[in-house]
Amino acid sequence: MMKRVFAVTARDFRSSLRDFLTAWVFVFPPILALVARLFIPAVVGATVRLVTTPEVGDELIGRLKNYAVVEVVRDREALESRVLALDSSIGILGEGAGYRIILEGNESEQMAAMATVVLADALGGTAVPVRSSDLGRTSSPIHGFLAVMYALLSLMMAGSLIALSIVEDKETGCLNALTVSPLSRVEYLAGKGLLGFAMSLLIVFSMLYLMGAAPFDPVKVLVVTVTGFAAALLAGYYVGAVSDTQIAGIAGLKTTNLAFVIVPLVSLVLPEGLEFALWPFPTYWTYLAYRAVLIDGSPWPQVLWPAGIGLGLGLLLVAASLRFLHCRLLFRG
Amino acid sequence: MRDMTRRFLTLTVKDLKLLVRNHHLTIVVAVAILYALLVRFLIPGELSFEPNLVVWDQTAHGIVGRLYAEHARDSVVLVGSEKDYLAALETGNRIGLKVTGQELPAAIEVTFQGFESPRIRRVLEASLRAQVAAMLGQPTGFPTTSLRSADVKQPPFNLAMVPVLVLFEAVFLGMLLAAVLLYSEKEEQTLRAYRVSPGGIPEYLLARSVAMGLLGLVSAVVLTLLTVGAGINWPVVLAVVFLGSLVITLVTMVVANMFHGISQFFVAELILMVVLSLPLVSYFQPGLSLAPLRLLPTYPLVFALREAYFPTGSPAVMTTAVLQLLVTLGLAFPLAVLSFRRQLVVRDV
Repeated sequence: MMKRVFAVTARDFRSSLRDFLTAWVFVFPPILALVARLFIPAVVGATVRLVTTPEVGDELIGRLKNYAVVEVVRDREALESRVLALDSSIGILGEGAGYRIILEGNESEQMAAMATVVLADALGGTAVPVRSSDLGRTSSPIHGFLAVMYALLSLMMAGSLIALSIVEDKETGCLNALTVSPLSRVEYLAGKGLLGFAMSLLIVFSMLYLMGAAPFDPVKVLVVTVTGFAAALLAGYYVGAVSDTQIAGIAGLKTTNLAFVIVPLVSLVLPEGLEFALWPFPTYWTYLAYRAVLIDGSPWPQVLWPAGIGLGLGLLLVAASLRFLHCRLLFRG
Repeated sequence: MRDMTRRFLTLTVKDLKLLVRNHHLTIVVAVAILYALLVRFLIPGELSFEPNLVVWDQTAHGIVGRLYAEHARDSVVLVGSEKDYLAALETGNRIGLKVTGQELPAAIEVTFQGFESPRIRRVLEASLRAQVAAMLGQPTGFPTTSLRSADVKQPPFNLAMVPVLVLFEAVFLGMLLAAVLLYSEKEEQTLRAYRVSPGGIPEYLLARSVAMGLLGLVSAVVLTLLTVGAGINWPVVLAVVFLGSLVITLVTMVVANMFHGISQFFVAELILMVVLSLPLVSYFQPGLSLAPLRLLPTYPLVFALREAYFPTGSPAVMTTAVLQLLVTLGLAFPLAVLSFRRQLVVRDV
């Protein structure tokens, strides 16, 4: 049986090599990791954007630059038109012996207050000395969250590739040809899943290492990826089973992929009392498990609980769908 | 010209029929309703933040600690020992404030997590100094001028998500779908047959983009009506979604034409989507404005949608977006025609 499963995997692997799909799987993580490396420092370091005129003096401009990105424009008119531009910039004008803050009017209260605080501090001003120290952490929560989302994206990609591969077999008539072979449906599906699983592992780990995710326990990531793969498998089998053409397959993926992207994003903003709404989704538990590993650095029990629930839910759904999958993936002669 | 229009309309209708037959209309409407339910019932109007400041006031009367407890109870954790102070800092993304002195605060020590940039640290320190000064009766302030009407209110968080969802659901709709239609046409040799017909590449590309644009409009209208309601700037929303969808579909067609099948294109599509979604970072983090982001067509698009849904009196935002989309369309369309002519006609693939 295993020989036949591996034969399906090997055939798909050869086909993916021919289609350069494998090459893309190697290219994908570095590109996304590069995006993360370029943007995270900018996002984490963003404070407020200030616009001022030369008349406030080089000394104050220099001090303001310690707190924010400062643009110097020629006069008040240029400053006002800069403040009115699409991004959020706040103007500082010299006015007699003092200063005036120019707002667009649609900034958040926090942003406007930040400009006041920065100006006051740059002008010098407190009698209370402030010292600072840190706990030595180098990775921001944004970094961790992006790592979690990238890991989920990898699972989603694996599921989508499994689905598209099944649909392709249907379209090319390969599925029909398999009727006359000793291959069973379970072996066929296992073979498809195996390549998807190998790809998801490859993408998850290369992405996490290349993006410079915070030090993490690779064994824990492996466990969460293995358990979370049940959801990807389910999505891939379902879409592959119900779709007879790639156009229909994309419609199916559009729906299943929401579980990988929207569920974790919603869980970020969902009030605590409503979190139960996400419990039925295996991806929610996988997200929690990845979070425990990649953001909180939690011990094993806190990783295994959500990972186990996610796996259990995923397998339960796969088991409940077996009959349906059997009917839809009938090898016809 | 009349023939060309007729061919274009026929192709558009053909694409729409294909999409409807494959349940895409149903799914687009269902997903829009799902998003609307999320916005209305699950995403809160206001985000509740966890306390992000840990205060350990060691002065005799604990004046700073008491003032924080009075003025910012929800955002502060008050502790009484070093052990509790460090333990509280372990949780979440918090910073610590250690106040020392006898009767009055003599010094403040701020404990950061470590990943904060020097600028962020200085702003946070400045903010803490200003808060303490205000509590001690020395408020800081400057005269302020607002260039627009002062009664502009920020939309609730759940509704502020609508432009983002419209971008993902309505504008990005053609990203994968247009490519799939292209590959199935290549596989079924429909494109080869089309080449010997009087139909040209411009009509073919335009029809595909318009079909995606129309489907995008359905999604945007359903999502908008069920969330923000009817009282919005419809011409701008419809124009931005339609033009945005046209641009995205054309870019997709150019990229998809470089690959041989959906499995290959799938990875490129994900990269394309991540790159085109980057302007959302500026949408949620207004202080961040990077020049490369501003060049992406999705940058003005998402801000124009926000202005159309929640006006702040900046019509130029919408005009700029429409103009930038038209310019991008003006560049993308000939590029797509050239790429198709080269690939399909010259290379016969």
